[in-house]
Amino acid sequence: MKFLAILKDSLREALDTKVFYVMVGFSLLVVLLVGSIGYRPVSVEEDAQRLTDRATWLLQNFADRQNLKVVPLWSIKDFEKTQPNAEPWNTGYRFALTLEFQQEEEAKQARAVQGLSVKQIQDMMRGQFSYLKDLKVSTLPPLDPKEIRFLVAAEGAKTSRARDWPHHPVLFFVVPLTLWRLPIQSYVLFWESWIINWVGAAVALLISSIITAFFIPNMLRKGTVDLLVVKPIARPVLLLYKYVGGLTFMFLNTVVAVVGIWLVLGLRTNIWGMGFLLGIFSLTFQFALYYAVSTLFAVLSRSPIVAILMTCLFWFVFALLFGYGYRFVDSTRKLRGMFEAEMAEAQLEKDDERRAIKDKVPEKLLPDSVYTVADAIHLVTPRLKDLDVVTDKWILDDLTEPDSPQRKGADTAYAGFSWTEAISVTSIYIVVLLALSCWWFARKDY
Amino acid sequence: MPVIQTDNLTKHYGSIEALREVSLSVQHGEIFGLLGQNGAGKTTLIKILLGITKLTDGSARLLDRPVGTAAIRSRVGYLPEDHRFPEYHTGASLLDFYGALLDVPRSVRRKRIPETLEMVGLKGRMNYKIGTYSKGMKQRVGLAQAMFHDPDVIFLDEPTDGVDPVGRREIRAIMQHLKSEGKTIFLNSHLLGEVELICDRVAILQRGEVIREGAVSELTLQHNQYLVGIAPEGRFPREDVQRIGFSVAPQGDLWEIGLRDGQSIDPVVDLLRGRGLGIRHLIEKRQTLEDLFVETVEAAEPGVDRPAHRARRPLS
Repeated sequence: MKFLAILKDSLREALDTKVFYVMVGFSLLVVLLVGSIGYRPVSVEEDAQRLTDRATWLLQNFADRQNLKVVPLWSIKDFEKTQPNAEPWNTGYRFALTLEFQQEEEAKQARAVQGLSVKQIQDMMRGQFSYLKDLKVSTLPPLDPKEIRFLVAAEGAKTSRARDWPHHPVLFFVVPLTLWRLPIQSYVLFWESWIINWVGAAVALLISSIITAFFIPNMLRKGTVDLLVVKPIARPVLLLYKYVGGLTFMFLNTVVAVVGIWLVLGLRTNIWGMGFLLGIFSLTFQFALYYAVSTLFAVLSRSPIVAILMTCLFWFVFALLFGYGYRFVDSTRKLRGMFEAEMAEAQLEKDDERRAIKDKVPEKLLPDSVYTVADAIHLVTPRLKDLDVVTDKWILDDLTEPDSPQRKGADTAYAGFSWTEAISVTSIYIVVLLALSCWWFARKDY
Repeated sequence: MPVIQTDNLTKHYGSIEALREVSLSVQHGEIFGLLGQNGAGKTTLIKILLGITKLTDGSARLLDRPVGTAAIRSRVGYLPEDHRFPEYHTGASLLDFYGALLDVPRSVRRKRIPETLEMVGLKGRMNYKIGTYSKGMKQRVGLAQAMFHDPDVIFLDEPTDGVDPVGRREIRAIMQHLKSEGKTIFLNSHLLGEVELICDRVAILQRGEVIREGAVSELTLQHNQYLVGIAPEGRFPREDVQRIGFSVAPQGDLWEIGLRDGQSIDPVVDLLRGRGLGIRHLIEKRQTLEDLFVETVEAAEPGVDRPAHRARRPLS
């Protein structure tokens, strides 16, 4: 009963100062923004048309610089899907790529002098249509002597799933942003990992730390604290209940933001990864540490300003300095592994030149003593960045295949980060900070 | 068994001695007043009794248990002097919150909230935010929360501070009502007139020490002094009374008769009756609690300059 009473009191305080409404309103705004963006599958025909338009434009505008004597008009003709009614990722494609010259002679020169080979066209087409499987280019007999014709044919798509097929984002349901053409899961990854787990989480943690920093000093004000400590409730319990009240504030806000974004993204993309939802607990857990710092300094000073400043200092030292510092140091000892993963992602593992570079990449970049010191500090400091990384890993696990280069890259980069270790060390910090707060609160005269 | 008992209670704040060997005893059903100048240690004493502040030496017991234990806190009500109730609460929600912390069942809270707020005259404003209350209303809601859970002992630190005269009278009536229900009230107040009206016993604290303690009626009594008044048509025989060995001084329409130790007022009464004068007024003289306090304390408030000429208040 007492716990619920204090929880209700904390909620009443947050509601009264309107901060809860502002935070939830802000979260809902982000949810609406994410929900207002749709995703339209890229049409191969449009993509091909865009390629030819771009090629023609480039040639027309930069022919002089390239010392090109002739400028052909690129166009797509006879476009057809092998299965007309199938989804874009469940059909093959055939079309004719035509380069039309002004003179017959120019066409002949282009073939002979400029070396416009089938391989060149095929490489270009494979680059553009990287999502199509077994794309092949062959020559077609010209219908007109002034033109060169190629047959572009693909048996099908590399994927049979919509999420892997490139999509354009469509802003506010009507404005397609054709500059972007990424698999739909990449957009989900962008929202979940970058916007919410990194930027959104940092903003939410900062704002929540500021808002909740007032809760405990308000409780400890002269004339308020007297009325609470005379109640039949042990002081440490009172403080811990108040602490949980602040955590609940953050938890509810996170639930609104994360579940809201998860829902709208799921409805828009049909991707329902549960890893993102686990971020609610990861974020709340991180906040638990910040709030424990805030609580300690609030109890020591009874000043919300001191609590906010010390929390920010803690964040700067442990999350930025130690967290990112360690990530940087850690990444330098995985240099070769990460390079290999990058090569795999770019499908360059068979490239002899690249392999040669890889062999020159050192295993580690820094002296061993640096790693020893970094590991020692990392061992005893709260794992704020680790928690971000773990959440990121959950999201990646949902959105990528186990053998995908992206997943392999993340596995290599995050190999040193342990979920158990991050939870354990951070929990110890929370417990110690709260124990100190309770001890001070219990012994202090008010 | 005293409800409140302190023995040689001492409290130090660093080098400052806030309380020095305070020994007090308050009985069940009493209204006990603690008087003293600012900084005398009154609030410190209350806070020690409530477990808000820890004692340095000596002992203190409340309801026959050592102070500070959680078990007795549910039997104690408290209105602090500089209270700051969370302004996001309404009068009703504040009582509900504190009631829940005091383990008052929800059904009881629901029933008792309007009753208690009605008692302090706030039922009509029970659902308004405390931030909208006047100072007097905040005092009333403070009194309501102090008695909400039906405690055995109630500590009131300046309960009528900021309350208008009508409100003060109402608060006094509430205290009398609580006393009639057998509650013990420990009162800190600067309003000595009120303390005199309501308290059974008082103690005067000066610089952390108890310098006077006793029943109000005893402390204000002025031994060997009587006030006598006779019927208007008669003339008071001042010289004759002096002649039989009493000092006489006019006090408005009355006469102040001074007795030596062992003397009785009876010879004066016999003299007046023998002269055929009608006696209309005969009382043993008392001083006000304020007079007693000023005389007792005799020192300026700590940290405040002493007035050059402290005027002695006339006896009434």
